[in-house]
Amino acid sequence: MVQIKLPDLQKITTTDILKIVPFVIIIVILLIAPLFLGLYHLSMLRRLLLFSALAMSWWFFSGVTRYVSLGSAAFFGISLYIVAIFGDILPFPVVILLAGLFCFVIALGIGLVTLRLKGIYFAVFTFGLAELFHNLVQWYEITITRTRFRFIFYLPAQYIYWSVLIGALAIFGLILLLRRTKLGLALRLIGENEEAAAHMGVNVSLYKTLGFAISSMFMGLIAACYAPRFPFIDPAIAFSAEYSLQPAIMAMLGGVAFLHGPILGAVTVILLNEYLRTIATEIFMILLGIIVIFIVLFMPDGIAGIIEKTRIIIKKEGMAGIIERIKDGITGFIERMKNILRLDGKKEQIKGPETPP
Amino acid sequence: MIDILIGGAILGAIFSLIAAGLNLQYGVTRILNIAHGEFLMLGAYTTYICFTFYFITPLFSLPISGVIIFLLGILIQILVFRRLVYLSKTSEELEFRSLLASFGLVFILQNAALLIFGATPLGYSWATLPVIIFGYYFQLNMIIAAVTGMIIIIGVFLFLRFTRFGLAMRATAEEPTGAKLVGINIDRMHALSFGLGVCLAALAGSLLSMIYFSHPFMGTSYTFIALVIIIMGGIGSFLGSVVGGFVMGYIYYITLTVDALLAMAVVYIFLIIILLIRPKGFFGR
Repeated sequence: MVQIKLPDLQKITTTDILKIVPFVIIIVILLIAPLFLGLYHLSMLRRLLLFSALAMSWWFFSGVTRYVSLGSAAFFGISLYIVAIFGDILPFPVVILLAGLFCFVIALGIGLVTLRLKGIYFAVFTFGLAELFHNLVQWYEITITRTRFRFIFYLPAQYIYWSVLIGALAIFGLILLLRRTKLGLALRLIGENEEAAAHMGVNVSLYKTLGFAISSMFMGLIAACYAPRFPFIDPAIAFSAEYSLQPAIMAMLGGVAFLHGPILGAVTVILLNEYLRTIATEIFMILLGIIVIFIVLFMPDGIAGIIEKTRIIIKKEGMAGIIERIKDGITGFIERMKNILRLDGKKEQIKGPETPP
Repeated sequence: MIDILIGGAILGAIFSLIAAGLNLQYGVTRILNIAHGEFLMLGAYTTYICFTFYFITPLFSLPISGVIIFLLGILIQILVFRRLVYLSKTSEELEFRSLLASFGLVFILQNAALLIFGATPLGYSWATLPVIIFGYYFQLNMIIAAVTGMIIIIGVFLFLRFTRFGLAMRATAEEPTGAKLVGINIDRMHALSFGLGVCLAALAGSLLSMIYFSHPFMGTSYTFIALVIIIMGGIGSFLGSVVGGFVMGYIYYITLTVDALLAMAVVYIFLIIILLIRPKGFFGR
């Protein structure tokens, strides 16, 4: 199954190498960032990396196959608890791998129950997953071990940053590699047309379950890397809904059709969050909701899609093309609003299939 | 034993009201509205405002919250979901996109409520007299809520079963193309059934606010329970969601009496069992 096709070394030209240079520069800058950044910017960068990796992991399964998972926080929280329990006994890297393995096994079980079925079952099942683990852990803590909090060992800020950075880079790399394997291709095929994939002899259930498990494993890994940032955890912190919904929103805002979409989305949302946090968190969340609806209605390809479109238009027609499109867009939008606000149900100008599916 | 029988029925009446609303939305419009519980929360707050500021008895403010949320639901359907229906090529795509759009709604409604009402649970005390039934104490408001809930369910059932309007709605759910051919305005049906579904959630919220405190995040767990119920009862089956609601009410009540922290886990285990045995639901076609 793992048949990674490496590029032919003979065919690599200087332009290919030049393409890699910006990435290398970015990675080097990120690696030495703690030497010249203050604590605030470092923690922001750490958050940025965490959410980019979470969004990327979410995208690896849900973005590609369109099976929306709404339970990332469950794996995030499980991983934090693994670190809290085994952090003092085992060395940190081993704990990270253990957390990933644990998430993999749990996700495998969930996938086996829900992913054989089509339709809404998967979304419904993952929707309450974080809440379930929250309740279970709380029950366990209160009635059996009689603890309220669990401490996580101390690690200096720059070490946490490096562990998150290495974790995130490893996940990006693995996702890039996995996309080329049989698994990645099968997932993409399922996203485009599941029935056709099944007819071609792709074992749809197997690949869906495996893809979901791997995506969850990545989430667990990055959460474990990030864990020492919390001095202590309780179920409400570990299974916070923030970690369930934001990765999904970031990936979709960025654009699920593109590899760099989730990262673009994560950067946008985190920066917006940092800016609006000073005003009110509620306003940030309301704005996030409006953004989500806006994406679904008007830009299904996300930010990356818009950038791609603009690039193509500039290449073909120059700046004049862009101005033309914006003008068209505005007039079209006004037309559409007129149509939508007309309550009598007539709709001559809205394009689409004759009957709603 | 008798307290379980009555307590479960009280929860069941409210659960089946919520589930019937969600089922109506999903059955007719194919929109999986994750924000269903948030409309419940809005209904609860409307009743709270009516009682504390305008001194309207919760039973009389039921129509007020119902109508307000009904209109809000229709507005949202027209502004957001109607467009999605025409944009999506397949019903899977519609499900995917409406799921995301309703998530946006969850954020907006929850945090707007948080901004306006604050995170402190708000409640009022009304009709808290104890009622003794077969030697067990129940609060009067619980009994009133349960009975009102059942009356509303029966009303909706009769409406769907015996009016031309209900017939048109069921026809749209079963065969959209055919319904269009016989002259039913599908867009209007979609808007109305979405509004009606959301309205049922709001009524359930108003009933819940008589008993429990209301807070901005109360909706999510009810949404989940309602989803489990409609999967259990069968998507699109009104009877299924009512029966499922009562079954879930009993299960939930029994778990609450044994160990309240495990309630969610039991709902989950139940969902897993249904998915393994009969994913179409017990009343599903």
